[in-house]
Amino acid sequence: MHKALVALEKKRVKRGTKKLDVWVTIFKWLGIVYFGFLFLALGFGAYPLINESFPDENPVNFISRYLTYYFVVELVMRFLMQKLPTANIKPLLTLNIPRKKIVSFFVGKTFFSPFNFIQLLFLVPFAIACIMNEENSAQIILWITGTYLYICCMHFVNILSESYKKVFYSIVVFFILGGFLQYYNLFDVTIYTQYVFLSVYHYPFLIIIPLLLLGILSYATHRYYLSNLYLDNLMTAKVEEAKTQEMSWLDRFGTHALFLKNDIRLIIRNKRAKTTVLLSVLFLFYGFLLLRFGEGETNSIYSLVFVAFFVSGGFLMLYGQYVPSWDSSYYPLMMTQNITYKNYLKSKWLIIALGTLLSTLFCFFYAFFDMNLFYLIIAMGIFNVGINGYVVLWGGAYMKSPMDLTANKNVFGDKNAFNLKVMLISLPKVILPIILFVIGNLIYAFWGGIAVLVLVGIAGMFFQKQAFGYIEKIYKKEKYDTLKSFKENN
Amino acid sequence: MITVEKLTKVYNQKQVLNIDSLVIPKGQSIGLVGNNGAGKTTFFSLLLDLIKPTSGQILSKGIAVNESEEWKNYTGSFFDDSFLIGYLTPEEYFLFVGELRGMNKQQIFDYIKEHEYLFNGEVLNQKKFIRDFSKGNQKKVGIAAAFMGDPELVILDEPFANLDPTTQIRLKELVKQKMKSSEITIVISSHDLQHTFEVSDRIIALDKGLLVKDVLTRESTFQELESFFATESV
Repeated sequence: MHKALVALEKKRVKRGTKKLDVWVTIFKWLGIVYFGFLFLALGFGAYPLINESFPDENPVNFISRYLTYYFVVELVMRFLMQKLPTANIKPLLTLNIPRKKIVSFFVGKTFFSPFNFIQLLFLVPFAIACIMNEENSAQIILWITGTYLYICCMHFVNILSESYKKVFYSIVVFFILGGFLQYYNLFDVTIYTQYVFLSVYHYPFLIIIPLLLLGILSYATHRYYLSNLYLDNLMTAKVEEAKTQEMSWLDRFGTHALFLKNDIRLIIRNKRAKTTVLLSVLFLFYGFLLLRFGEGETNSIYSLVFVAFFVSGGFLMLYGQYVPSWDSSYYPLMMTQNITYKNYLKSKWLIIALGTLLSTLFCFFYAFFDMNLFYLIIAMGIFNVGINGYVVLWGGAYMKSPMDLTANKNVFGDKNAFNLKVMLISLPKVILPIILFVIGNLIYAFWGGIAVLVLVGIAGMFFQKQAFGYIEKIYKKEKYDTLKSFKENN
Repeated sequence: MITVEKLTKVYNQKQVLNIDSLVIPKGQSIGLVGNNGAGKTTFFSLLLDLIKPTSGQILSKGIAVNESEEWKNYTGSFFDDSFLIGYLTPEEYFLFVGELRGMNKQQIFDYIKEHEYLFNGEVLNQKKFIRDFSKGNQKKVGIAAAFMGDPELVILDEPFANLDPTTQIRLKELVKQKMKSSEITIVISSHDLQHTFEVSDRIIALDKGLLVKDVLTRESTFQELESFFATESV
């Protein structure tokens, strides 16, 4: 029975790959190879290095202590990037296959992920190095086995955290708390957590703990999927009560109001869109991440330019990037309804422009911290509305990956969202304003840079007609292709 | 209303549609029948400029559909759920389509009320988004919206499939009632000969992309049509 499932899976992998995914696959494997080599090098180099730099530390103790940090990073990476068991189970349910087998196959399948094996590239050479340096080999082997078992546990924690929000939130709270305590040197978590790994080293029989933990987690995962292996649980999202929203205050925008309303509903009612917009709200605070405010602190002018771009353009980058993919599931409707392509594009532009305007206005609070940043944000806002609004739409013409609105796996990991062509088109959005600022800056210092950005932005608004004429032409040319690829994947 | 000129569509060297010439006069209601793969949906997609013809063209009121967007003003259509916006309630969807078709709110509410019988009490005030409705009920929404704003041309792909019997009958009534007006041209595709025969002035049969039969219903009988498909040596 398993054989049949394996054969199915092979076919899925072979036939499922679309042209678009080639680049994603290449980048994925480049990443895997890069980290693989990194781990391998660390595995061989860690022991002598630690011995040399910290002669009084035992390398195993040392590693055990810092493993905690590594586990945090890995869990975050897993959460963002690791794919979870999604499969087309529907046709299998009525076939003569026990449910248990289906579940164990699909859960087992997810285990074969680089995330679960790449660590061995570090652990095995490190263990060899330890043994060659006359550590107790039995202890070392138990230690790496224990550590590896904990890594396997993370695999299941990751799956469960997706299913049980409580698990996810408690992990987040735990890490934020730990990180906070560590950051302010109140309390060093690693002093205690190192014993999690070290205990196996000192008391070999304690290997039973990670073994048991892995068993429980694996059992819980299997049980979760087994009890949810019904169409109404796995396939359909929960039906939420719908409220009709009028939003008549938007009517002043004429025909565009219709689209504005729809896009607002799109954002409110679809998880994927909601996450994206929330993320762009977080972008507003990007300045605090990159800049230092306070007395005697100065930030380089270019980091200010960079921040100004991202805080006013977060919505433009994150939401605007996926126009018209947001409409992918009903694109034929948009193409046949009583609205010209130009007007459709204009409404989309209006949404992007309004979002950018709002972000820019909101960022006025930066005036309390740095006046130069404040001026830059205004200039950048004008530029983003005047020029980048078009650039984003222009890039959208080539964005042919459909969007599954209901999915909220993770904004980063959506394999369809990555597209080299779109990447290349997004580049000018960031680079252009920086170049313009540099030019202005050379001519007349800071205010010269500001003036160039503002002037170009305002000029862009005056050339709206020409810009839309050009964009519309591209969209019309790409229309049939776009319709086709939106349809293929939906 | 519609003029087809030397229209062909080829996918991977395989010809899926080849109509040399076809004229649909204003006010006529057309039933497009054919087996799977006959090219019905391909023809409709070409009519709405959703795919590009390999050669030839379709003129709507004398203007090629792939050159001007003029036809959007007077054409209502419904194919499948890709014509619906899943995250709207049916009421919001009607408002969206209705306003695009130049109706004001009051007209839209009147329209919904007038066509309520089509929904059989299952669509309005359900506090559900369209994506959470069953396929059949979704279809009711789409079909009702296709007739909004008095379009001169309505194109429906397989409207009877997936509909419950009551709605099938009511949809037929609706089409028949619209047929009385000489202002509206309706093109419906279907597998169901009986339904199509009842609601059409003219039946056009496609087979493997070719136009194989073109008769007026008043000059033909249902038996004749049925025997045509039963022998299927076309």
